[in-house]
Amino acid sequence: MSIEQHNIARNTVPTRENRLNTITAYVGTGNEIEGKARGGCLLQQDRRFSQSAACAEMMPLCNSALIDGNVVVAHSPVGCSGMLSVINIIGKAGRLMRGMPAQNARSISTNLSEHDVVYGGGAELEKAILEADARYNPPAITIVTSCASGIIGDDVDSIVKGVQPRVKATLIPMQCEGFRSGVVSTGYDAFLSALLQVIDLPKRKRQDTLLLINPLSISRPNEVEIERLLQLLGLKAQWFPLFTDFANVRNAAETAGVASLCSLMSNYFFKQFKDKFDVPFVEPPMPVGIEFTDWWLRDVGKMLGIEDRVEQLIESEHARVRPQIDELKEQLHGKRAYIGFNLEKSLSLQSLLLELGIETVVSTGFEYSDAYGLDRLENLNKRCSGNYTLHIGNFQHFEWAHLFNREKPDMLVGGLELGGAALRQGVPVAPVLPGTFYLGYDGAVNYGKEIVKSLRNTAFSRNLAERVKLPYRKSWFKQKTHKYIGRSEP
Amino acid sequence: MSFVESPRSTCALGGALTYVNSLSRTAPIIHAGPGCGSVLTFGQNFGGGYQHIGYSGGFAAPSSNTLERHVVFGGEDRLREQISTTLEVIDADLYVVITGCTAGLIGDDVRAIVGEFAEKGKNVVFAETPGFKGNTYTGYEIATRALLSQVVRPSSKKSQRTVNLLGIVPAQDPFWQGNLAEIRRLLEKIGVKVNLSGDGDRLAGVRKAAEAALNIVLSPTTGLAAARYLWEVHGVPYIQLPIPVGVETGSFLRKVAELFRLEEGKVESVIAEEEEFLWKHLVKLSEAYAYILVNREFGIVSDSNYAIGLTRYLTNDLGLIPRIVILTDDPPESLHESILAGFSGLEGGIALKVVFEPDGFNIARLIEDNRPDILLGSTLDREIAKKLLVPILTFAFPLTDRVALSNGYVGYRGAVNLAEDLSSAILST
Repeated sequence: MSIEQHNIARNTVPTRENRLNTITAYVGTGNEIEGKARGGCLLQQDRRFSQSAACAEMMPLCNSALIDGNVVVAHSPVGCSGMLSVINIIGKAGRLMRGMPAQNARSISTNLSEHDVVYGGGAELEKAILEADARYNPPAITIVTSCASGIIGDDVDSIVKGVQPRVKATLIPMQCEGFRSGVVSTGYDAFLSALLQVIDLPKRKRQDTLLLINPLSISRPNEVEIERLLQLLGLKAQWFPLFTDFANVRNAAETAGVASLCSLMSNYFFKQFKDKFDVPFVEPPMPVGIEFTDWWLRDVGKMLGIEDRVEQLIESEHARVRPQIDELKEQLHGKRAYIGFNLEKSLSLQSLLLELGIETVVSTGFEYSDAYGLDRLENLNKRCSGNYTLHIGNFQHFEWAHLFNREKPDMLVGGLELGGAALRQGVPVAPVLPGTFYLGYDGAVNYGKEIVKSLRNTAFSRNLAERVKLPYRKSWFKQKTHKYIGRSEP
Repeated sequence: MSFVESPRSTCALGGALTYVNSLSRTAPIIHAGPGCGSVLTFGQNFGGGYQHIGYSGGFAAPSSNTLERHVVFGGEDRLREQISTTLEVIDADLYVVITGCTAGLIGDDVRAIVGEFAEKGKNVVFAETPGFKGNTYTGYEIATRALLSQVVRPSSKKSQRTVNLLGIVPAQDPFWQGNLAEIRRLLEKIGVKVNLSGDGDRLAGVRKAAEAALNIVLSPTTGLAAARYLWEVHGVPYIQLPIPVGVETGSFLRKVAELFRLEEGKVESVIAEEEEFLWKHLVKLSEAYAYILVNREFGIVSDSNYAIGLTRYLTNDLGLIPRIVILTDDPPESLHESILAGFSGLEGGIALKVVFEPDGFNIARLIEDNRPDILLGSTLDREIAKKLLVPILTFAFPLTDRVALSNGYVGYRGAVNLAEDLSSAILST
């Protein structure tokens, strides 16, 4: 069977693997990966042993569930919607912090059955869309495809075009079958790129407003810090697209420029957005810690031609915050940390940890591409020895476990993905969760204090580790971490 | 099947995964796309009251992570490689290959590949559970039957007074461990041994499942596939006794005692002792009853099993009035009649409205139209409860506003928990 017969290449974004040579398997030092990246010899390799990863389908499903007023139709068996119960927790907290009433994500699963995979799921999809429109009269309905709908060849584009005249909502298909890409951010591309079709041509320009992409892991206190900094520059922030409504999506192209709190996520969208609406963009690192926040502000300043104002702001913020950071540094100096998130977040936190005097022994990133990795690595490697371990893996608990065991760090700087795993191996967690304030200058101080708190009483992780039996053979911990990466034994 | 808003279960793969996670020193090998294992970890484990369960569960679950090229060219080589490396890395007694949508649709010959390992004496078995086969309950049915049929050893010897417990789906019932522990405690107290308890069963126990004298299916809908297998192939009889709550636990114990011809006096003294415990605490509640619970009309939104047990307890023991029961587990039509029979014989000849409805939107409308004074349901139902200013006790899946560790709501101790938690939910609203 060919891919064409499967009808899975229709109206879809390119995968990150193809577009950016994004890789999801690598273990080496920071210096090594920088050298290989410069030499152009960082290639994707498969793992011969792998564990539960994440899929690109999760991103349009979970993210579009957090656009206010939207109804998500998941064209899939019921299990694909499983994660929405966790999204409801994030959604509830996020909505309350923004003064919106708590509300479950509005989602309908087409509940693809054995009958549907034989005879096609189109009729069920049509019914689900009509019902979503009738139940909620929403401004938009996003339609997310799945492995099952892709393989059986449901022509979602045609179905959606056929139903559109019969509903008031704007139908937005987001095609990203779980098997299409091993890189989660391909799903972000499918999500953001699909929103382009509902952005209007600007009738006016708002020169004082910056469009800002907010990933779902960034909660309101972080947005408030960015708003504070922009206000000091005479700018307003327009958040896009989570926890805002479609009116806010439609007028996005009126803004003077666009930046992101996670350039890994917005990389493809920015280029398309510029092509279509000529809105300039910048892709600095996530503004975490002093140096990377400076970097973020300077890039924004350059884009908008307000470099002088930015320099004044940086100077006054430094004067205010430096003494507080130095005080924290005295308490944290010499500690060793393991950082685990997507690469953008991991490297930005690594920059903050350097400022706090904490040595990063391992940085885990779920994926790597030069496009949003190399300049950050160059910066970090200049500021430290570059001998930390950089682990690239789309999750892969056995490699985390191996590295926790080998490095015995004093803490994990991590979230939901690695948090439990660290505790069970005796590593206390300094959490960065939806709700944690860590962005910008004030966020740096706040998160530094959070780390101090995390190290006050490490009884739970210590007690757990004495009792937990990991499922791995003892021999695994004697191997090299990268043993299962690549076709043959390295 | 039809579309469903805010589903209250995961898929067949989820049912299989959670069953494998309930076994001791057993590793799943998920043969599916890269996201299935994590979606189910977040959705099922976090969604079931934040449970880290499984010897090699959560993000440690081995998974072949099939991509587009496997969809196009087949995933068999990848599966063979993944099984072989899993045996190298994971130290388990049993490895269970469970398949998702991609493997099911492209038609990988999983049986043949698993067979290659079994021939070499490796403890590898499989269950074909693509998501489109059905919900979590269906997956549990397929996986338990598949696993038992590959692991259980024929036995002519029968262990007297030994039972297997079937039908409680881990995490889909967030309180599965507490519930199973209570059932086990009571059975042991009347002198019945439990081989498979459904929580932490070992390979040795699964192997000798056919030595049990009886299988108890603790649900009107689930556990039947495994029970029928053990009856048809190994001649072990089964009895279907949905989870009992409160005084009805006595009927449950008497039924088992009768089948095993246990000494009546001993069983009755156990029941008397347990009822004394139950009523000692319900007497404590009497001081507040008129203030908190009296004349309350309740609504339940849960799977069929819980709904029957809870309705009977709340009506027959606690004296509340059932207003509406919404069954969310989408059982096959053929079971509807027997499920409805579970709601007969309520105190005062009360007839209540029972509706089969898995769809979240319709569930909210039903609650709004019937307006119970108190609601028992999932975290999803909190929204409508809040809108109607109705107190709610959340206990059903998805459960994300509570942590479920060892508590349970069945038997005698569970009945006390329920009275306590329900009253507390009312007081704190």
